[in-house]
Amino acid sequence: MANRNKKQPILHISESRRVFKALFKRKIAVISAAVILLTIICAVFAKWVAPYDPYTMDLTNIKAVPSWEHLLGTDALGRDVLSRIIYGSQSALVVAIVSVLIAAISGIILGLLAGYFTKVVGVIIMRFVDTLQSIPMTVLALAIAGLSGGGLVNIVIAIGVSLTSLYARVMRGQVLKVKQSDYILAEKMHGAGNFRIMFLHILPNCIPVLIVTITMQMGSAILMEAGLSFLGIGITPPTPSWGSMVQDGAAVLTTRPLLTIAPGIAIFILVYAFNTFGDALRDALDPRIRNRK
Amino acid sequence: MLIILSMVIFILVRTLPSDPMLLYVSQGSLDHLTPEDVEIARHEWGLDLPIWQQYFNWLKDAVQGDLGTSFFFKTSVTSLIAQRLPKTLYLGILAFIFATIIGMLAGTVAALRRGRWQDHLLTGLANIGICLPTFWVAELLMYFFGYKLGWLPLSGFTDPFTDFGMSVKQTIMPLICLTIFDIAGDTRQTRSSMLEVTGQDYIRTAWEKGLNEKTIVKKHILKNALVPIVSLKGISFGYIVGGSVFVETVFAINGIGRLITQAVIQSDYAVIQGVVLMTGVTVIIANLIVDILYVILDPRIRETGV
Repeated sequence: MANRNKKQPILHISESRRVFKALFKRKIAVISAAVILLTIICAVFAKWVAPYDPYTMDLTNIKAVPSWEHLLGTDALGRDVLSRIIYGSQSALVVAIVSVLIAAISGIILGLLAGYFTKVVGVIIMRFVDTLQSIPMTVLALAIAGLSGGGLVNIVIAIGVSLTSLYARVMRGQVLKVKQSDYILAEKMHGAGNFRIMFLHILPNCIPVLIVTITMQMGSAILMEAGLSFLGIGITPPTPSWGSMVQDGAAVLTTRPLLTIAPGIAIFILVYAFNTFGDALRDALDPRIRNRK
Repeated sequence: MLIILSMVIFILVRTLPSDPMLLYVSQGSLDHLTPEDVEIARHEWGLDLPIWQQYFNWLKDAVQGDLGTSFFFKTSVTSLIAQRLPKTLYLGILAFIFATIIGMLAGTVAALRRGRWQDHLLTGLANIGICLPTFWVAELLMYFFGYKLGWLPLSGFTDPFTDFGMSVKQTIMPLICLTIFDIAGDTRQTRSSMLEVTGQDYIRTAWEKGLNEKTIVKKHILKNALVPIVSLKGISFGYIVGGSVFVETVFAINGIGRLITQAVIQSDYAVIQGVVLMTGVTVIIANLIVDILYVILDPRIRETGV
């Protein structure tokens, strides 16, 4: 609080550069960004990174203990666990990115409309959003994914739908706040249309909050994908997914605990990286916290 | 609200591309799987009616407490839920209470010792806690405490009234899994909202009046920090229900979570509708309680009418 009284020179640096600096000043943010980047590289170049093909079964060498040939051993069908974990990052990232984007886009549109047209449209939309939110996310995603038959496309939609209500709420709150500003009033007096104001003036002001929400939601989406795959209605086997690997490992839990432990650690690390990066991003973007730290 | 909820659930369940009748007819033996049989079964269950008619039939029964009949258990969904709910409720309420107490305590300590090792430790643990996949924790606990150390039974559920000792032992692991996420969330929320309040002017005034730390923390900080915590608790009810899906599957507990998983895999319409409706209603009631608590905690809200 002390530095509030101190005279601060007015600096003319761009906001994005300031956020960037504030963000990467913190070690934890750098580390989590590196982990995310590394995972993305692993997923994209899985073919070259993975030591083995994740589908090749070596029935002469099943449930092998870790060795130099198979760093994490092999599973009950003789497939290399490390390679399957590396390929599993593809499922995790694709599902997370696409489903969060679906949720963000539909939620942003709903929230924008609900916040801008507070009368009939807003009430209808918010009633719908409240209803969706009253069903626990896991249960909603489970029902949608299961009833549509599982598989990559269906779980992406299922997770996307169950995350939508959050964006709609966040967005509506932001719109209600920004709408009060004088410059929106000025814009209205200039005769700007509703859609022009919504998309050109209100939306850009909400972007910082949205970026934080999106980063934080990546973790939830990864956890949900893993959970659905664990229950057997997510990614269809034999495509590797961390969730179904934990499930497969559970069958031989007593003799080969590593088959369960390893994919779980992969889930944890990636989710942790996204959450921590989201936290750091929020701190860097939020001017209120900025002064306190 | 409830009408919209019932409509959303119904449309969701009935329009997604799954055909329970194929599974239903083929259940006994595969020879019976002729298109005619499927049609007959569909007619029997009233699935050939237009969707709005199906909806009104269901709604009419539902308001009288009849949620339909399960395709697979062949019993009424209401009795199925009544039979399974106590287990989930027992674990869920215990988890809710434990998580609230531990989470708020940890959050308070972290906020008061801000920047010291207690804060770093607790915040660090909380940050880890919100990232752990429930089902994975369940498997690991099962391995270490159930198998390696043999301290606790691997799975199952016993009524606390029939064998209390066994029940407690079987409850420990599921309870840990159900609470971890919630404890972590509560810790984070309590810490941040307490820090928010600590910086306010009236807290400084309280210090300057010479009040002791205990009074300030209890009467001034905690009371004012409670509103966001209460709203988080309203949501966390849903998380516990979500968590029970995994916990009950891993620990073989025949509760609501396991019921919905099975029902989804078998496309058991009536059961899915019934369970989702019930969880939805529970969450709505929880939110209502939260709204009432808001007004009690913060009389200012009454005037503005949030």
